[in-house]
Amino acid sequence: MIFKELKRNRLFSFGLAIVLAIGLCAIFAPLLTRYQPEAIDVNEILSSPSSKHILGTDSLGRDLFSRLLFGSRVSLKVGIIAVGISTLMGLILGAIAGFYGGWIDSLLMRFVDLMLCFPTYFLILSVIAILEPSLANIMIIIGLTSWMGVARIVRAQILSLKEREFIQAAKVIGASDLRIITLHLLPNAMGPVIVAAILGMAYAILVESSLSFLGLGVQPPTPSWGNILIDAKATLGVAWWLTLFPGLAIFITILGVNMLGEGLRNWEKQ
Amino acid sequence: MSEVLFELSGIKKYYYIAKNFFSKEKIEVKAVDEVSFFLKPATTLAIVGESGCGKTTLAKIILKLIVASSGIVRFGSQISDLRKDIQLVFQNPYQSLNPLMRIKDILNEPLLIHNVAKNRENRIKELLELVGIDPNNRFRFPSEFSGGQRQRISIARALATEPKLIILDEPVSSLDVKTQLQILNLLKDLQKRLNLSYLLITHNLSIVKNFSDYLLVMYLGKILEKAPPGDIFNKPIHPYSESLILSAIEKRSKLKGEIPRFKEIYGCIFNTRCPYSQNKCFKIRPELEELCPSHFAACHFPLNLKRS
Amino acid sequence: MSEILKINDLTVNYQTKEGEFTALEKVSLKLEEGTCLGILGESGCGKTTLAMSVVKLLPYNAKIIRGQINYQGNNLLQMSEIKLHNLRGREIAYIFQDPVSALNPVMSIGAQIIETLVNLRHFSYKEAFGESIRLLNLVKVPDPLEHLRFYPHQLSGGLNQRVMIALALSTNAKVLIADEPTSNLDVTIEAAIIELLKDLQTKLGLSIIFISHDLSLIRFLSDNTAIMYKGKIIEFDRTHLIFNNPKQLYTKELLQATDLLSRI
Repeated sequence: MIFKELKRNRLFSFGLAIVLAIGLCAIFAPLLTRYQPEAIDVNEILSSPSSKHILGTDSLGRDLFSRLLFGSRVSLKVGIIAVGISTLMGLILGAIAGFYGGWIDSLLMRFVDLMLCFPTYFLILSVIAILEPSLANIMIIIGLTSWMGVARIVRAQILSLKEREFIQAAKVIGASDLRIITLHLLPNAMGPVIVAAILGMAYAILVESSLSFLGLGVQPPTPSWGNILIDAKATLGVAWWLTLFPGLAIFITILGVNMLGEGLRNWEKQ
Repeated sequence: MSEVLFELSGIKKYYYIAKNFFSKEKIEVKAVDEVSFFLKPATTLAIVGESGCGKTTLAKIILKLIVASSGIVRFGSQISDLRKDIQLVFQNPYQSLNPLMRIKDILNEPLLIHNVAKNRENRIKELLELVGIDPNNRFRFPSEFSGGQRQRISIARALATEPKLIILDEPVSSLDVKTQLQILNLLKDLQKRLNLSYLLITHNLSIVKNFSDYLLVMYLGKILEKAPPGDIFNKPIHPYSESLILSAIEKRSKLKGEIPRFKEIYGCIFNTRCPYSQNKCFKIRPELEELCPSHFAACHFPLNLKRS
Repeated sequence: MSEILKINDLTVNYQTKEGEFTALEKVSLKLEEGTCLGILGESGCGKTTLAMSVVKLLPYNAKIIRGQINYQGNNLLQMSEIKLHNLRGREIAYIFQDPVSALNPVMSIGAQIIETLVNLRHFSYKEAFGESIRLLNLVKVPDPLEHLRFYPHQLSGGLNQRVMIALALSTNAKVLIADEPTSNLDVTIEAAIIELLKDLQTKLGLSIIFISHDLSLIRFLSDNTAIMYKGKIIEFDRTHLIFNNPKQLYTKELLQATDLLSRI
């Protein structure tokens, strides 16, 4: 039954496979490589991919493969936690706006419009510049600047669900607003929210990589796909592997996550 | 006089809608206009009318789901907690049950909120038995049941808090004939066993004849006739009741045109469709009067009546 | 009386996720010219599938397994799409349950009727205008001249259904298939539409297939009645014979339930 469905929805299956593979790599990173990601080996500076270092080494002789593996931990962590923050905010604010309507709705939705007016990237850049760049700060700031889409989706869902008879039925038996929202409305609104969250994950991963690339993200020596790329910039002419493989890792991850999201959306539409 | 369950007096609900997209001018829509009636314990009152006559609005006002523009709803001593003592059964059993909840959770909810049962598990089984559903099915989801069974589950949910009054909003009109009969029989049976009162809202005259003790005929937010259903069926006083009966039973209609919407009507509100309308009907609005013993109608030229 | 439409041994299957299921099983029916054939059944019994297969407008996942539908001696199922296109809409017209969604919302009703007359019957615009007023009069739309200018959303459900019927008649159709035409309407409006259909049947000699779940409508309107149950015709006879002397248990129960319902 499940296999039949998976076969029908190719997009979802491919996406799921990619995301699962990356997830497993991140979890079992120490088991998959012999090298520490931060271990410097002066004898192996900038060696090209070989049987010893399958993806080569960087300018400090660190193994690229293990750096990428450990970097995926950062990416997934950012993806999951930032999206968790933004989804939670979107759910709460969207549900309140949709359920109560009136001036509360107007106020919250104007706030959403206001947030959408900011050029998010520059907002993130300036906030990070003021605070110190750290993984926690990045996750929080990405979360706090990307909840608006989810809020809008939740609000729209709740507006249409609110008129359904089972919600009226819940009111008639005296269920409290909190109970109606959390037990009756939100579970029925989750489909599109999950899709939006997964697509949001791709965005969060990209933002983290670019911040790290700009030096405002995860600080060396902790590896992240973005800061591996900065190092690669200097040696672009001699060490092609240092740009190709992190680039590919980002590309495949974003592709996988997007496919998973789109696949879910196809399902959700049925 | 004996006790009443609830009493409505002078209930009005007006809505205002924009005349068109560009203008600020508003049209007043009288969803419910000057409606008064009361309901005695352990009886059934039926409200009959076509779509847009305000019958569902009235139910929502009684349940305080919406607020009336003016008028008073007074509850008798039997009704102390509105959300516990009055329940509602909806028309569409496919929409009135949360699709993501199991039957036992749907029935558990009112028990939990009002804390009315010592052993909730037992009470759920008891409720399902009461409406003729095998209690072993309580772990299933609504989608696994047929329309008639779902309507039984909605009734079970309504019964959970041991209400005094159940408002039935078109309880059978989305069901097949045989299922309609079963559900109505179940409701009748439950009324006898549990001493319930019903407020039945329907457009289908044929089911109210013997099901109800008292019948209100509504049109465009106003009561046009009220009497025991037998009296209305045998000798309708208002031309509208007459034509409702004719169309339901003989598929024949004497009426002109359609229900006027969003229009200001002077005089009798039924004058645009009435086959007997005369000059007076376009000038003076008739009041609801007792034209026969316990038989009220709002008409200048009542039918089936020998005026003394 | 001659048979205008004859359905013979028609079997239609639907392809679904769960596999194939039979919507119509060996259905045989005939419609005599100038009469009304009522098809009575509960929801999901296949009555709409039957009507749709007559005009060959079945959904993509439906498959006609076998059978014939003969219209005046020609088998519709073997007819070329072009010939069928000429027939559908011209000789056989269809009216739906929901008239508002069946009419084009961005064209005035006058434009819709006139367009049909000009395209299908090659009227000049002037002739078409006169004919459309005649048609609206025929279906008892008040002030036809006024109503020609209106758009579907400006009219009530009852008037829209009348316009739908006028549109069906504008093609000079001989057969009218009405699929639950009154189930979205109020009782008094329903009665008026049913009266209109009866009136048109006698006045124009229309042959009508009337599909409904409502016993009382079928009883009032149709000359012959077919009872459908789970994709099969279980009883087919003169209406008065079926209602006075039902042979099948299902029909008996249905009649009994309707009778009891009015006395409950």
